[in-house]
Amino acid sequence: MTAITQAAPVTNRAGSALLKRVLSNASLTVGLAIIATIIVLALFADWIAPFDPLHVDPLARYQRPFSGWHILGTDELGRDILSRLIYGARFALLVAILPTVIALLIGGAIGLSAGYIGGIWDSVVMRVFDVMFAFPGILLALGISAALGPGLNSMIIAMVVVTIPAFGRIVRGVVLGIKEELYVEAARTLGYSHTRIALRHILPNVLGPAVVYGTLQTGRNVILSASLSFLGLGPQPPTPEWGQMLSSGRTAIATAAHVATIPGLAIVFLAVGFNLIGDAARDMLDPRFTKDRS
Amino acid sequence: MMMFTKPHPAQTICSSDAVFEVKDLGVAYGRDAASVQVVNDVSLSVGRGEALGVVGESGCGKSQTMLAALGLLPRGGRITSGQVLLEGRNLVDLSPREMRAVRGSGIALISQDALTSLNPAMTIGTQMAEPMIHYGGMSRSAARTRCIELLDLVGIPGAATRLASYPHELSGGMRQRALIAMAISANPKVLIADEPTTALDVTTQSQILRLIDSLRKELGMALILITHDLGVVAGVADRVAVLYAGRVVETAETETLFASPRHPYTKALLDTISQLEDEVSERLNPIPGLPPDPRNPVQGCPFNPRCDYVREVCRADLPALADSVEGGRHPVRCHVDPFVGLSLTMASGGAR
Amino acid sequence: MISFILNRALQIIPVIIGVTLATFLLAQIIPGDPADVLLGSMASEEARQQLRLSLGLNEPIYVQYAIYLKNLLQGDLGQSFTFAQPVTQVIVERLFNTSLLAIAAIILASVAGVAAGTWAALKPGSLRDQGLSVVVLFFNSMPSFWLGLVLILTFGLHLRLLPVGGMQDATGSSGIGSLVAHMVLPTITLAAWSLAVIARMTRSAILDVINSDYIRTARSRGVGEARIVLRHALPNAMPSVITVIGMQMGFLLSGAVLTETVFSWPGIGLAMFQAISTRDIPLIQGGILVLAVAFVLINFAVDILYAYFNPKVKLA
Repeated sequence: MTAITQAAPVTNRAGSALLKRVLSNASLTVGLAIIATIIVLALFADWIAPFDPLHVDPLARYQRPFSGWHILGTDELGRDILSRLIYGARFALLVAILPTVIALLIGGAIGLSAGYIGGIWDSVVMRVFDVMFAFPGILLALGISAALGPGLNSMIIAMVVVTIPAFGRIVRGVVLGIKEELYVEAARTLGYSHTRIALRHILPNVLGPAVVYGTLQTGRNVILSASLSFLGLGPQPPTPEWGQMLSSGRTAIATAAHVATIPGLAIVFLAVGFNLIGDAARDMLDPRFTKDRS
Repeated sequence: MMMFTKPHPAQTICSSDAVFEVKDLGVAYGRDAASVQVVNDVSLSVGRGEALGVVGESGCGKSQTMLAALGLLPRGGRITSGQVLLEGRNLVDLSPREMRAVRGSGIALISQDALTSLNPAMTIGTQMAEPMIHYGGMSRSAARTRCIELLDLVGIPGAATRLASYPHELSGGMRQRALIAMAISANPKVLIADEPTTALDVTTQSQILRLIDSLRKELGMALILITHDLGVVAGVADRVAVLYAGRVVETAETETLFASPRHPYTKALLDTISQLEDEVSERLNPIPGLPPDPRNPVQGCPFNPRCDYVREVCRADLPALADSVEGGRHPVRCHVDPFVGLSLTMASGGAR
Repeated sequence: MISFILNRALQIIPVIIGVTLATFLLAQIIPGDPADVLLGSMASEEARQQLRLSLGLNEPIYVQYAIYLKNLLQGDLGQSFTFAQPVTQVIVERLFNTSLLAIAAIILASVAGVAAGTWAALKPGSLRDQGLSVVVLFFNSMPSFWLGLVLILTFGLHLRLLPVGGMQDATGSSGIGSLVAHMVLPTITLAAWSLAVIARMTRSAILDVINSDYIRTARSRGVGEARIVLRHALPNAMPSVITVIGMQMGFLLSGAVLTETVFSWPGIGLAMFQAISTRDIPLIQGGILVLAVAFVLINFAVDILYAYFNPKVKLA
């Protein structure tokens, strides 16, 4: 019996069973706790942050952590680092999650079309993906970002473009795997358009690999965006973005190391959170489904 | 140090003293509440030079018993009770190092699937010679000579060139022969053959069986032949033990078992053989119903859901392995014992 | 074997062409006047006209691409205005430095990664295995440049054990000892991520293999555990590991941009960082092209090596 019927709504029992499963996995719980913390910081930054992140105080430059009013010290322009961290959480989350979501939608659509239509379109798409995969690490993102000019928007565009091929391949793989099923069903149930059938069959099968790859990619995005910012390709100062903060703090590493190291710790913290969730997702869902393209 | 040179051939086949014995062995997987018992209390013995057939459907615990005896249970498996005696020495108590010395020269194993049981990245010669050179103290040339000798012994033509072949370059039958050669290379006292013919075609099957039989006679080994197919043990085994759901349900000399089986399960197995005289693959389940899942043990006698002779008592109590008829030489685990015309009463004495 | 090599070579040619096309298109998406972009805003009007003619900037795009390809084949990657040199020269002069770092890093990552992964796989679920998981998690969550900064702080500035930048001492003494000392921290920084990936991959590859039937056969013949792991399990696990190592080479090439920046290591990566600051598009383009093509060729070589050592693949 194929899953032609609508997926059953999540009942209370299924929901609490899922919750139990989540909680029993220690690393997953820790990961979720970390992300939740960052989300809270981002959402309630206006209330939590002790200072204005953009407020420059020339008299309070390079203050050490725990030395005065500034718990985490101040940076090269006297701005409070803690407040900049808290507000920076907004960018950190945005820049990690948004490219994943957009790339999933666009890449998924392309992969779906490639797998479904097949033929020349499929060949072309796969060739293009192959070329994109030939650029290792951050090179392609670097190039696109540099070409479009520094800034938040070009960074996100670059990250989206670079992530599209992976999602495209995953969705295409799923489609190819159940293609026979799709055509049989389409032939048998007249009145259902291809699109509807496609969605009902494909969506449940894509969910697993997409979640696994998506969460792991989000973790990688944290590092990727920080790297691009570090190179000067991200949001420009005075925006309190963690990677950018690290970059400008570099010059004072010998005398005021905290300016660079503390934002770095925040980046590590966030990346650990997403990686824990991603690893747990990979262990829970089919471990053979996705190839980790680290 | 293991002895890899050729031994003196055995003189007669004598089954008086047991060279290898399994006593009340229990094997389980998993921990605590999730623990699953796959072998319950299996007792077997085989004498010097004797051949014992161990028969049962897949999942009945026959392979697990032997793996446990060799200390080769996969992760998660453990021995929960019992002893494994090789010439009187309990192997369960041995340290890993001591156990390693026993493997190969004390007990050897021939596995079922020769393709996966041979290292695909090593030549036949390298694999075969490895224990000889590194644990047997032989020189490379001496080991090479011995390997050629062994390959000849098992009937592989062109042995010298075969040493340099990889497993995937050999046919199924030759792979199995190579595996047999590796198993006997250290002159084990006991040879355990686990479904040695299942992955082969019918003609090769009988060749391999005859090879194993002749080898054990020539080298004086005890042989334990594990199989799901009663037909396989007919020509080779001196005695047969039938296993069901992790327990021995009947043991007898081969002729006796075939001529007058006592347990309904054995009878059913025998009935299916006569149906399968032609070359149809026997992957079909001949007996209606499925073997019990060790995770959901059946109350009473484990065979009762599929038994044609079942009575009330069968669903309630597990029968003991006993023999009240033939003086202990043909024990059976059954309340009903339908073919003898007598039914066993509870808690009667009787040897095992 | 020869036919296998030729076959593979034919497969990568379209990819390399695609890479050149992609790199070419990068320049096309830049907002603003291409002449400005390629020459820098300081250039004279004549120079711009010159450029427009030579690159065919007024022609349709496929003509421009053809010109680009033609130049490529002649080894002309354009002019870097940051260094006032042809891009090709900038890259060639720094190729050795980057390669040195990359090779050292891949060796460190592979050897330490395989060793750590094997060590953990021997006792799955044990303390050492969980310890490895934690270390891997952190190495995979650290931006390499942050790690580099921390290492500089600890070993360079506080402990004063190792130099903090450049390839040589300020006095210009260029002995091997000095070079090695300068290489230690950048190599560790560059290798960290890959080490984690390789360790994890080795661990799971060995675990996949250690339950195989042929391992059981070897054990049943009395072969000791150490030999089992080293001579039976590891060789059969290596194919997956080698694939991962090949992929990590590419990551190292791109990671060099970050590491060289942090340590002021005079390689292609540092040049690209400087190019980003000055918006020296030809140099950025050229650097990306060279590194990407290098990655494709490295993977090609890895494929060949893999087939050479694995007899079954050649027949496939």
